[in-house]
Amino acid sequence: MSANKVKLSTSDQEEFDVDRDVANRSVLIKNMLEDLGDSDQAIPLPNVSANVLKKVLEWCEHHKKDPEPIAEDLDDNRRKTTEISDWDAKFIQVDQEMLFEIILAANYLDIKPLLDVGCKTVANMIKGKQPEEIRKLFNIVNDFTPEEEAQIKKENEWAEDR
Amino acid sequence: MATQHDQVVSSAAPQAPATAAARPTATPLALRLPDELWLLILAEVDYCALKQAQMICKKVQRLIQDKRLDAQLFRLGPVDGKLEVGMSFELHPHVERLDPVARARWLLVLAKEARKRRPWRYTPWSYPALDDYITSPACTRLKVRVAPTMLYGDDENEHTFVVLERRDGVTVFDVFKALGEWYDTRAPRYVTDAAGYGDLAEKRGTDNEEMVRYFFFEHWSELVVRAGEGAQSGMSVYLEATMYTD
Repeated sequence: MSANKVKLSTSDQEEFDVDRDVANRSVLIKNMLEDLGDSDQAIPLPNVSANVLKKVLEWCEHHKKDPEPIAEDLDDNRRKTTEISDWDAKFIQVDQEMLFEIILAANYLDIKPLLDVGCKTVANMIKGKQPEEIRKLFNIVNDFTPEEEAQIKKENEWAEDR
Repeated sequence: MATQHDQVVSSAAPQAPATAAARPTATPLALRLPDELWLLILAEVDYCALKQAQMICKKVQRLIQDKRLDAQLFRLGPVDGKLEVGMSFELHPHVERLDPVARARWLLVLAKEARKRRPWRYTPWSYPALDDYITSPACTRLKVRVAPTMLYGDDENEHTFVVLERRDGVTVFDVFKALGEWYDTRAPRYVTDAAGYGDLAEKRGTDNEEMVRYFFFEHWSELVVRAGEGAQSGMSVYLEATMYTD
């Protein structure tokens, strides 16, 4: 295996040969590669399935030349409201299951910008929707009693007429 | 070698969640995301949407109590230490859109309730946003110019502004109460005279409730810590956060 290629092994035992600079978008993989040194062993990713990894690598490939994010305060990072780029917006147009799988994988693989895109996408799905619409969207059951629901509604009615 | 890899994986990601597919199918997909990830998502949602989201289900309601969302929900107390020039405060959405003309009646009710010393819970303003801080982060000193300069001229006197000082941070309630009391205070004679309220002043009963109908509030000023008093030309009303002193 050439020095600039990395082998990744998914939870469903599929192997991917990936360019090192693409794989390095994942801080988890990057750190593991640094720890391992030169090795042609496949890196096991027991929390990521092949179809999800394929999608994540698509993102990494497109973003492989992005500058390294500057190490900033996590809180500052999170509060920054950068828009989702056109490419990312198109990339993340997937079904809900894949969207959540991408978020889980981005978190596990430690790919912050991708995690950010995923979280912002879900946040945008929530914004401007009534609780009932959100429940329907995510298939969530309303577990409040009618009394509890009335109470919360009363307490937050001012937020509603925004 | 394989075991060595396993160790690396487990040490690098000790809290790695199992894949969604591995969890029981009875739980909706969305709720199978770990709390940490939901908090990252909720961090992208604004105040009003968060308040609404509390109604989705108990899990989301519980998550929204997390202190990491305090700044978004105006629950973040006064910052520790001195403020720096240029530091900005976010204004509470309930006040941002406050239309004193439309709210004048309610503000009066609040002021009257205050005089009767009845518990606040029974006022028209009785919703939890009253306990929210007026700014994020909370300020300890807030100056509210309640009277439009076009009515009072450029002179600032005791009747044109209210200064609120709270060591624990100024709340939405503090501001509403101050506005209520202001509207419930009779304008001084010289003000009604100067404002050209000839006929109204005749009655000697002219108070702010009446005057407020002639007020036109454009917007609140930006809440940025300034080196000195900021010029407020063209603005009818402003809230001004000043230096936080311990």
